[in-house]
Amino acid sequence: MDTENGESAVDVTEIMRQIRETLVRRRMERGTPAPILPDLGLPSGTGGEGTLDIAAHKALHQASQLAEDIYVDYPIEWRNPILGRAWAIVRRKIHGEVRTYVDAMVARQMAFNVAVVQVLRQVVEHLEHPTVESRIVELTAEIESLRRKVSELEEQIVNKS
Amino acid sequence: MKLAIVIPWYGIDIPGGAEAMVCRIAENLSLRGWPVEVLTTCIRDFHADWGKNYHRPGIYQINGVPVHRFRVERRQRELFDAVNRKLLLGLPVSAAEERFFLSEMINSPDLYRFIRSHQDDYFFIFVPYLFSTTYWGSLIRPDHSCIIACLHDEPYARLNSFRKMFEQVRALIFLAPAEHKLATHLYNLEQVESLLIGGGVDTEVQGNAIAFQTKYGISEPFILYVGRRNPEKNTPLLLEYFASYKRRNPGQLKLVLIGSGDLQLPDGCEEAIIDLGFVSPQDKLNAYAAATVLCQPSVHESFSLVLMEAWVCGTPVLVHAGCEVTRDHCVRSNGGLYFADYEEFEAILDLLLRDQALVRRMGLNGRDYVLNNYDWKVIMAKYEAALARWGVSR
Repeated sequence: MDTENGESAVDVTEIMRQIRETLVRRRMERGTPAPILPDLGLPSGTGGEGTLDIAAHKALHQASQLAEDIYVDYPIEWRNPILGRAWAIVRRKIHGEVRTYVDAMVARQMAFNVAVVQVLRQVVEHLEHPTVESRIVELTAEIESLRRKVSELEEQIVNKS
Repeated sequence: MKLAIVIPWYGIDIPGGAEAMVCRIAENLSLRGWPVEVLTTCIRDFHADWGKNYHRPGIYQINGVPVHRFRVERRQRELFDAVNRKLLLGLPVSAAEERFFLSEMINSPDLYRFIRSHQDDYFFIFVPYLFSTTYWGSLIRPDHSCIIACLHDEPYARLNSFRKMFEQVRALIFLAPAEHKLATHLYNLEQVESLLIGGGVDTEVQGNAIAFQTKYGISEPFILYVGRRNPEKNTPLLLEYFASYKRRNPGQLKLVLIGSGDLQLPDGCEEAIIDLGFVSPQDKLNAYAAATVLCQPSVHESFSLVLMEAWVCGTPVLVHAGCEVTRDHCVRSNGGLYFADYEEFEAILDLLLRDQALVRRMGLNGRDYVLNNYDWKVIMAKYEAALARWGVSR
């Protein structure tokens, strides 16, 4: 589309589509799939091309970050110089007792989390990035389909002339 | 009925996009003859101790707007911090923890008493959703309450208390279509008047690229970042991506940063990254005009004023695809591009550096978008229509 002064109008969505198409082609040429879950946990080509939506990727990324980081500090302080201090000593004692078994539970929970996240990442990778071979098959079929269309168009042009 | 804008802190020179926006709304309404007052606390600003009274309580006149400051009381910060840490980590919190979070955030019983005793005299606009002044204040008279949400997709937004608050007030004001969409996804807003008004932008300003290049000695093409530098704003990601770009594409491109906060510069990029810190408002406009592109990597934006400022100066923007608000602005305006990973970041920069015509056209598209949608005149007309509906009279 051209503007009044002869410049073509900008279509951001179309520019992004072309950029992503080029990147996919480059990756295919390199034979390496796109890196899954880059820094912010978002798939390459965010915009709905993948099997899973962005929310799922974000959730998995968040799970990866949290898997080994579930300890929460709970500082016990006081304001009242006499009663507050005494009560804080009691609270710290109780807190220490509780943490002896809570920490052991947390360690087990973290091991479980890490294992689950590992499996989930593998599943997502499999879903989002089919093997290079299957992609080649898809592209070959697409090329064949395009060739047929070109032939049809050529025939139409010949018939018209 | 008069209008009261309720915000945790208020002042013409305090940092924050929402804070600056509220000042301008109050001043513009006052200039147009609306009976507007501000109800706030004695806290200095977001970065100060929320249990400390920096200002004296009382009524001040700030740029023609009456500002009531109310005392805050001490709070149990350790309780608040413990729950806040859980929320930041995305961990679930109990109902009791939600109560701690809201009651130990900002305590201003005087403010709530004032709202309660004057609830028939005012219509209240609370800003933003996240603070306890909004939560406790809007509970007092929900049918006289509107919230300028400034909503992000974050764990706080999913707290039950905030859900109830959003679902019972008279009206909600949103700054961007994507923010409105998020709110309708999170809450049942069938009974709530939802207004998509947007944020106001000064459009009668001009940046001077040559003045910037001369003053700061930067004649090379550069990416501009404007705002606080911290992980929440995704500044480390921008630094990392820029460093990777420079390693793979040695050239003249620079990264210029304006704003506050510490920076951890990546190795080998010290000369290519220029930190200007705070600059004057005119220098900031000049920087926008001189930049090849403004980068906004944050994924937690409810409007993003810096995008609008760059567009007013005719400069395109580059945003993170993970932020629906900023990505949506780019698509609607055709004034910016968005990256989801490093490869896209690199490809977009390559495109912008080699196609000056595209850069110029995208900048102009962005400028048109701001003029048509977010000029203060457009925004104030929407506020005035809403105030008349809510029974506020001039």
